[in-house]
Amino acid sequence: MSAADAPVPAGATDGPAPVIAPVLQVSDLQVKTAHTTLLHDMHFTLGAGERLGIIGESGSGKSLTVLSAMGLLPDGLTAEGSVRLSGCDHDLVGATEAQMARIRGQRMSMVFQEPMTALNPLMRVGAQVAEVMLLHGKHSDKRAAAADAVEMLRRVRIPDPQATARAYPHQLSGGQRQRVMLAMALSNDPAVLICDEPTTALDVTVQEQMLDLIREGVADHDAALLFITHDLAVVASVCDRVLVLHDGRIVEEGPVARVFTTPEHPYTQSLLAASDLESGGRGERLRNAGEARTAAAPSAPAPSGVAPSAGAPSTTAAHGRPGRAAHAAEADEGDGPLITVRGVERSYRRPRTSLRRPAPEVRALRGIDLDIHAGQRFGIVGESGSGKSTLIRLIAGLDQPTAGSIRFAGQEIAGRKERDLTFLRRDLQMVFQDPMGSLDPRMRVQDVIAEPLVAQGAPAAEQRARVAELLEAVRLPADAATRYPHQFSGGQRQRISIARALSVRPRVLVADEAVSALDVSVRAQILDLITDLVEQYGLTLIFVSHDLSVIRHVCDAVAVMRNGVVVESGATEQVYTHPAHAYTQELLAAVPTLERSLRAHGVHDSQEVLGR
Amino acid sequence: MSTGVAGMAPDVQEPAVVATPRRRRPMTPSMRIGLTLVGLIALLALVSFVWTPYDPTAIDADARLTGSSASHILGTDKFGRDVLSQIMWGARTTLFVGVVAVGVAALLGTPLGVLAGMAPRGVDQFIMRACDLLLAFPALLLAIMFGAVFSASTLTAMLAIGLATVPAFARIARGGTLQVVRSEYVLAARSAGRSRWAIARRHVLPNIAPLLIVQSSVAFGIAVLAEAALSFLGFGTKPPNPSWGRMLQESQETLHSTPMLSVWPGLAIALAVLGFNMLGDGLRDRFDPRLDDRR
Repeated sequence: MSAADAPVPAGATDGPAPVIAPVLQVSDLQVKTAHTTLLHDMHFTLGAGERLGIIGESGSGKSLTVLSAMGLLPDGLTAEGSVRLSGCDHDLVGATEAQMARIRGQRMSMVFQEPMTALNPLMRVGAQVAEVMLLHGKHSDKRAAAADAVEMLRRVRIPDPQATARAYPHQLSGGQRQRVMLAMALSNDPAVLICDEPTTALDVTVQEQMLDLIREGVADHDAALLFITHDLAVVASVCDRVLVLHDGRIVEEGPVARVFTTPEHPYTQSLLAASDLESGGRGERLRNAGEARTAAAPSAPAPSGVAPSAGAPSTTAAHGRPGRAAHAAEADEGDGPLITVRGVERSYRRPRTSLRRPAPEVRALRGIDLDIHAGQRFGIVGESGSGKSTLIRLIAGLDQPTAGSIRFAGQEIAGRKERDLTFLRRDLQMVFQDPMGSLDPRMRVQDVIAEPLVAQGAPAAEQRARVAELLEAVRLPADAATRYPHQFSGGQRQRISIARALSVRPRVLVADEAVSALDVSVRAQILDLITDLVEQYGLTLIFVSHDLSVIRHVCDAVAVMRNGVVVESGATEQVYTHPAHAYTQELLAAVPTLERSLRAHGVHDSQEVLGR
Repeated sequence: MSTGVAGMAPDVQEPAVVATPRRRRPMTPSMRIGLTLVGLIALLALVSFVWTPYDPTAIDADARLTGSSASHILGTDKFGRDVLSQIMWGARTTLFVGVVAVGVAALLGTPLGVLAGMAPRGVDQFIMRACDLLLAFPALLLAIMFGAVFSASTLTAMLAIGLATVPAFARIARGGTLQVVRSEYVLAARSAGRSRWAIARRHVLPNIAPLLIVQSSVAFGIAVLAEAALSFLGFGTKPPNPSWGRMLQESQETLHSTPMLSVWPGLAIALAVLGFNMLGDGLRDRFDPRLDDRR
């Protein structure tokens, strides 16, 4: 049925077979705007069956590289240099749109990060896969193409491909959509498959399956793979060779096993140190991983004038964590937990889809029990749709549970009107996920930071003083106060969010995926900042994330959520080293870690892995 | 990887363009043309306060229907009134009507729309259905009704046009509000303890302002046209106050002998409407965030 049913060519799966003729050769590639050069002197060759990873943080030029190879650069950017594709007698740089259109999707195809936006929402997915094949003449008969499309969907292991082919993109899950994208990309047996952050938007367990499929697909079709990501562990698990980009330049390249064990360039080293949440102990600083081995003690004296939050920090180790200042097990709560969640349920009603049947109900939370103690660093981990965000919105009093009780410092939150929650607003503050979306674009930073103070009715002079203190505490320059959020990078905006959350001297800081949208090195800085500030102000931290390694790094207790239930909870180390629940085990196994990936490359010593 | 306190960019990994102040997009041609036309009309109106070639209402029996001449650049009408002076005065009327009508619409429509966007479903439905009802009435019909009840004048025309435009503002304000209310920064404001009122004032209004400005410009064009139509029908500005619509109507009788008499006010109306519409388009191009994704 499919032209690619041939047996897998031996040797195509493993390693860089001696390159005979490069499939893709990029040399002296530059990408420029009218004023500046964004990508300098890019060069690499890709042999058949070879898997090359390009890593770099946002703005490093990794996407520009592939976009210029595909001839998809946005207006205003121009490419210079040369990109040669085997079997194509012209240079891809400067090729006409018609020439590129023949190549795209046939000789060279691409899987994008966002599978929802990359698929046509008004077209059945089977038809979209078939269209690619019809367009490039693999099939001339519509029926044959449709049948082949189903076959392609089957090969990316979509359950019931016949039925799925008739579905629209919105009816599929993110992982399934990404599989459809992969099926489309592979449908014409491309010589080069380009994946641009294909798993960044996916959950870890889905990510693992997707990476398997990409590896298999590339091997089956004997295609070369160009894999772009910011995630070092993912690159290590998929690629044989890696190219490290920084500020539009290649800073290092070589086999994965070499680059990740003995990185030569300082940037690669820092990137590795910043990604290395796994091997280091909890609470350890990430920025200077080398010198911070012993930095469990409270660090960084408080900036002048910044008083620790409520009361003086007690020096007793409240939960048996010697070496860390434990705090705020204050008298008024006694020894009871600060936040108690009992039998909390939350269901939503979807809009009616039928006149006869009642509106469908979605049970986001089904019976949650949790205790969070003062001074604890409590992690909530789960994949998308597990209900973790719903839960913390309930705890923050931004939503009402359908049933159950939530008590904060002995006071009931559930069922209260928002205007009756001033005690909660004073004591509990949130940092949100999206550093773009959580700051009002039309407010100056000083107004953003002072907003909780304004809500508490603080006098203007105090607001100004507090804003200055906080900017210093989150290590932003004082002149940031009068600027607007869009003038800052993602990491800086997250600092602004943190400053804002701390403005009213809360006792509890809730971080909802606060570092998920950030690059690894920025993520490391923000995590460091959060842990520092939690120490410094004696805060209780509730940290929500889908990223298990981040939770492990930051938190001392963790609750694992799935489908609106807490499946497992306990001390972080306990849960991570001896997961009791099958789902936790699955989740932990799915997380790509550098160490595990490198072991597959034949590197065993974990010290070696870190290049120390 | 040190986190410099002094430097502005401890962790700027993103392209520099993002971190620069919001770049003003260059003016589009339609905005230039729109601004020029609107500016011209505003200038005519302003000058008419201090100077017009003749008194626009002065009847001169000796100089009737003169056509263009050195003393009357655009000629005179059947009563010998200077056309240019009337056009200048008419610009005043037109702008006045536009400002009041759009003002009424914006001042009533915006709060209604924001309220609908933030209130519980029942209130929202009530407001929006009321708007639908109002929208079902053509502005002209409403104005004629007003004129019949309260005796037609510039005021009734303005109010009727304004009321008929309320739904347009309410809808746009509601749409924008729904979008803003769902944003994470409003959630952040709620978790900071801001009241609904403060959120509406501090977050919603500033963020939907661009939408409203664009809508105002477009509504202004419609109001100009509606006022001309009402005056033409005799339900708007009363004589002797000059108005472009009435000039058109009066020029009908002499359409065959002096066609230019209807061309001048017609041209003024057309240019004014065109100007406000193009300005609205230009403003939309400038403000619409959906056009802003190319950074």
